[in-house]
Amino acid sequence: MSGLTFILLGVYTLFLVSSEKILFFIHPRFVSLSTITGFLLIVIGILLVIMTIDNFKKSMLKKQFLLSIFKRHGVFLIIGILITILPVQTLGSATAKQRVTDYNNVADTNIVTLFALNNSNQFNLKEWVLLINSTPKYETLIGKKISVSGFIFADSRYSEDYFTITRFRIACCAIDASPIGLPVKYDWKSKFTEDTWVHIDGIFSIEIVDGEQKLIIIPSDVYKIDVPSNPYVY
Amino acid sequence: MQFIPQFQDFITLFLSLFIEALPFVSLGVLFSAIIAGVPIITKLLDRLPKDKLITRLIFSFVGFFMPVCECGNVPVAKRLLLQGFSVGDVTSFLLSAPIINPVTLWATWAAFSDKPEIMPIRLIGAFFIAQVISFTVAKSKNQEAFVQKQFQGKYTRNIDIREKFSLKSFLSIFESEFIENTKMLLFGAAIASFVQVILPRDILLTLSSNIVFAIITMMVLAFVVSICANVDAFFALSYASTFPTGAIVAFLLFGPMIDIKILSMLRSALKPQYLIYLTIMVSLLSLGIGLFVNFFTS
Repeated sequence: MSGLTFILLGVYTLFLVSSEKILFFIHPRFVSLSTITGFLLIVIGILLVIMTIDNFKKSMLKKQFLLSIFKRHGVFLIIGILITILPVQTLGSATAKQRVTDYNNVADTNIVTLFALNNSNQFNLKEWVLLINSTPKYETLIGKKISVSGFIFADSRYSEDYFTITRFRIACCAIDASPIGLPVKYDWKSKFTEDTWVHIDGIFSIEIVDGEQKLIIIPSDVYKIDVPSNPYVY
Repeated sequence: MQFIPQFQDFITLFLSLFIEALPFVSLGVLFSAIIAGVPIITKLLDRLPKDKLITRLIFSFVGFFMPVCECGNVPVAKRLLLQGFSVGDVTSFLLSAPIINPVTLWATWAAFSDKPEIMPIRLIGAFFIAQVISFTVAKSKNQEAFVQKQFQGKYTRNIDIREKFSLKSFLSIFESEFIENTKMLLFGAAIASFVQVILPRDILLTLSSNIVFAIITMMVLAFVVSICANVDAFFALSYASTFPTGAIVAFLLFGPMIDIKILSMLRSALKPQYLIYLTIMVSLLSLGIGLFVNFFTS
């Protein structure tokens, strides 16, 4: 019985790895460990099933034998099945709202500097945020082109004609995810709902929001995309 | 299947904790089964004196040969108890191994390359906390009083296994320990994820202006987040600009020793009184070290 749960958990782990859905949960550096674990659990599961069948054959009281196995490991099998049928999705706006204090609280040993602006068309959201965090004067960025993707987060710090294009940054797994993103001035509510994944092309501008100077994006194009296989930044 | 966003995020957080910890639990159980059955290791362990300072000192550095995070260390700690080591001996291993291991120390060094003092402070701090607490636990005459009754009963069965180790006994150990630890891990992961969903982080972070509150805040954050010790330095780095160095050090010391999932996994072997004592002592010592560090770095 527990052998079946081992096999189930092993197959489930390998399914997540092969479909790349595992990246909804953990940092890529742990994927190889999960792969090895998946194979290990399947091998041990098969050996346990063989061992149980062997014991079953030797058992005189076959009905009691099966009953005792179910009593001991039935709950574990049910837990295993429940885990594998849970919906696999990436984190969204509910967690971003809950962790809004952490917004753009990004530190990195590889600081992006203004000198890197020549390659800024390849910047992802995290690199832009790092650059903006280390840039004292926003004026240097006005008119710069930006092309990034993320999900729509209705950030309460901005008025309704803004959304924040957001992604989560993770160090280990989704449990430590911190939201990062940039405000986009766009009438999004007529076309999209919160949590929709979009790609935007646009330029930077400065606006006064709540009496404070903010760097914002004026988009030239906003279109819906599928949730990427790798939704987080690292 | 579509749920309300909070519930969906709860499931994602829960699965992420479970999937991330699963390899480490498996590895820990594997190490445990090896300790139980490979003759050279059992003989080596049998030669170590039980309940002595030298053993506690050696156990503080076992993590160097077994660099798994705290989820992996819990099954090994339980195995050491079954091998006849005292709770005091095992406490030294339990508190040191997640930090005093090459992966955690390297990650701390890499994350805080601009503050090189943090890595040695973390190493020395972990050693100090482990030695102080294991010494006080070892002082107790009745070590068995810390161990759950049902766990004590397993010792006799374990002796039988050691006498005739085979693939079958190895599988039995792996099966029973994996199930026991995974159940507790699932329970801990569910609570940690639930707390994350209901507790807005700004409640925690508004307290960062006062040094004592800042240290306590970072310890509470470590307790709730339950992040793996091997990578927690990268997580702590995000808070290095808003929190004083002492609070970051307290986070890096407290988190690998005490969090929701560790306590949940230890619960099956050790009594609540011991776990409460452990939590209070680690909290006080982490707070003390955090204040000490802050005094010299501010």
